[in-house]
Parts: sequence; structure tokens; C-alpha cells
Amino acid sequence: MTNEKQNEVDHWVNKLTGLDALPEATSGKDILWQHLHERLQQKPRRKKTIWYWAAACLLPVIVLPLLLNKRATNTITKGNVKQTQNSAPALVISKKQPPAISLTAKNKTTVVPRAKKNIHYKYTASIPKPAYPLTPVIEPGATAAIMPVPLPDAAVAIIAATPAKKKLPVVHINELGKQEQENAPFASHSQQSSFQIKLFNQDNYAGTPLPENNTATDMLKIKIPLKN
Amino acid sequence: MEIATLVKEARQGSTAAQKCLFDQLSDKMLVLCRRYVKSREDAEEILLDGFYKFFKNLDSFHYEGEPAFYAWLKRIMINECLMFLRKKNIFNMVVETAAEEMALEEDALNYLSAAEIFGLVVQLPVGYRTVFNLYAIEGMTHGEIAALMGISEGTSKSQLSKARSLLQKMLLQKGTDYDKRKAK
Repeated sequence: MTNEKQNEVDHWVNKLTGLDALPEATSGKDILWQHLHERLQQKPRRKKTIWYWAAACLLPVIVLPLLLNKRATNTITKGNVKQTQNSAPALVISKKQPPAISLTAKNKTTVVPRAKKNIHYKYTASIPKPAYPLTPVIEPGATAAIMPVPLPDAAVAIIAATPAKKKLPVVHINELGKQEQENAPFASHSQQSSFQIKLFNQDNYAGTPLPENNTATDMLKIKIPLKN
Repeated sequence: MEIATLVKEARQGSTAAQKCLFDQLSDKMLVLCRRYVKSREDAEEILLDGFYKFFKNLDSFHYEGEPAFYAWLKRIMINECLMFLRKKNIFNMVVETAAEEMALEEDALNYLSAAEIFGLVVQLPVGYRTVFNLYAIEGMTHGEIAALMGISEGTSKSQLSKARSLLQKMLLQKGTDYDKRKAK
């Protein structure tokens, strides 16, 4: 809309911008041109450049002694710095390195009593010494970076001590005799041992043992009667 | 001589071409400067500064036709004017949102001559005049004006509305002449 208006010949904006000369008297063009010509002919001032050159000359004079002093101090302290510095870089390990921690279970058959006191751990964890230095070395072909996390000894012991929990069937003590009678001739050594664990876990033993049968298989049954 | 050839020669350092360009353009540019600056001496000084920059930066200008050339020169001059006004700390305007609303009958300006319109615009106070020039004559937006003058858009709008209302008052004072012309 405004553009349309401005396109009109009689629009006041066109009139105003089309004004070629001031209605009032001005100082002549020639005088103005002379002023401008003088300014155009003037060469840029050299005073500033002289100061720049002076500064440029002084700069090395000031900086060089400082640099030389710094170098001298550096050579003195270099030996100390070498002692404290680690030659190896922080990270990046090669592909073929062994895992950080390997656990080896020596005895699989364990008896872990439920009682909190006198816990005996039979799982042992041996932590081999890493084949690589703790501060790894950069290899040019390495693509992945694995960060070994050295665990503290206590943490390793805890990890090693927690065995897989087995759910054992709950059997009444009265049934044990029958079961044992049935299974006794065929029971293997492992089954017997599991039976022992069950008894220990139940915490049912109390009172004085009764010497009924003194055979090797019935030992537990005789010695630990139920509380009921 | 055509502007294009004059520009080419002036770029090569011809003083004659530079003078020709100055002679051709100085009057128009002086009018432009005078619209922004009230004092004639100041306007002439700004004109010289503007032409000095124009000739110094002519090497970096790629001539693509007269309209672009005029626009470039005008922009240099406007920038010089605004710099001058900024130096004088004229743009420290307070935002006045409650501007007196008085719509300007722009048609009324069409019945006036160029010199009369020029006279009215020059009579406006500096802030009003600058915003009015930039908005109504140069066709800038309020955002552009605000950025150029270092003021907010709201200030620019309020200044424009005040300028318009003041122009309207001036036109009303000239009412009798205007009515006569309208009747013709």
C-alpha cells in the first residue's frame, strides 16, 4: 500500500527526494570541493607509524632477556620434573590384553552356614598381577580403549564369598529317617553332603543328642533332634 | 558523462572524474543531510565527510547500476548524519508510550510543494525528524531504526507518532492555504 502510494508521481515522498537543491543559499560547490580535495590529497599521518616502528624495535629488546632468563630457570628445574613425571600416558590399552580381574574357584563344594558368626569362606579369588603396567601404553593401532579398574582387596573378597544360593526342599525331620532309609544304600557322597547343608541351614538343632543308632549315616539324625 | 565511466575513472584516481561526480551528486546529498541536521554548516561538514569516505572506499564498490550506486551513496550519507547526531548525544530519548495520537493526513502533504514539505520536516525536533526520515522517507522498519539509533522499537514508534501528530498540527496551521489548493 505504501509502495503504491510512493509510486504515485504526486506523492510527497517522491517530491521530497526529488528535491535537487536546497531552497536556501549554500556555500558554493567549488569551495566545498576544494576542502574535499585537500582532504583527499592529504597523505595518511606518519606519526602513528613511527610510534609503531619504535614499539616494534623495543619489543625484542624487552622480551629477549625475559625469555633467556626463563630458559635458564627451566634447565635447572628439568631434572626434578623428570623424576616426578610419569613416562606413560594416562589411558588407551591394546586389544589383546587380559581382563582386569579373573576369579578362579578352587573348591566348588562349600558349606556356608546360615549363622552369622564364624563364617568360613572356601571360595578363594586369586588376582593375578596384570601383565601390563597400571599406567597403560599407547599403541598406534588400538581402536578401543578399555579402562582397567583395580578393585580393592576387600571388594574382591566380598565378590568371591557370595556363592550361588540353592533352593533346598523343606523336609520335616520325621521324614528324614524314611528318606534316609530309602536312599541310604543308593545315596552318593554328594547327596549326603547336601543333606548336611540342609540341616545346618534350618537351624533346628537344640537340646541334647540321643544316642539311638550309632551308625555313620544316622549320626546327624541322632545327634540333632527337632525342637518342635 | 555517465556515472559508470565516472566511477571507473574516479576509482583509478582521476581528480577530474571525482570532481564531476561531486558536482553531480553534492546538491542532492546536501538536501539529504539537511533533512537530518538542522544546521547548514553541519550538513556541509557531513557532506564532505561522506564524500571523503565514498572516494576512499570506491575500490571496494562494485558498480551494478545507478540505483545501487545512489543507494550506496545515500546510505553513506545517512550513516554519517546518524554518527554526527550520536556524537551530540541526541538519541538519549525517553520511551514515551502514551504518545499523543493524531493521525497524519498524508494526502494533505501531497498538495504541498517539495520545498514546503522540506520546510515542515526540518522544523521537527531532532528525534522526531530522524525517525520520521528513516521510516517515512527511507522506508526502514522500526527494528532497523532501533538498531541504527540504539533505541528500542517502542521509542521509535512513539517518536514517529509524535512526529506525525506534530506535522498534522503544522498542516492545520497552514490550513487555509491547503484548503485553497485542494479546491483547485
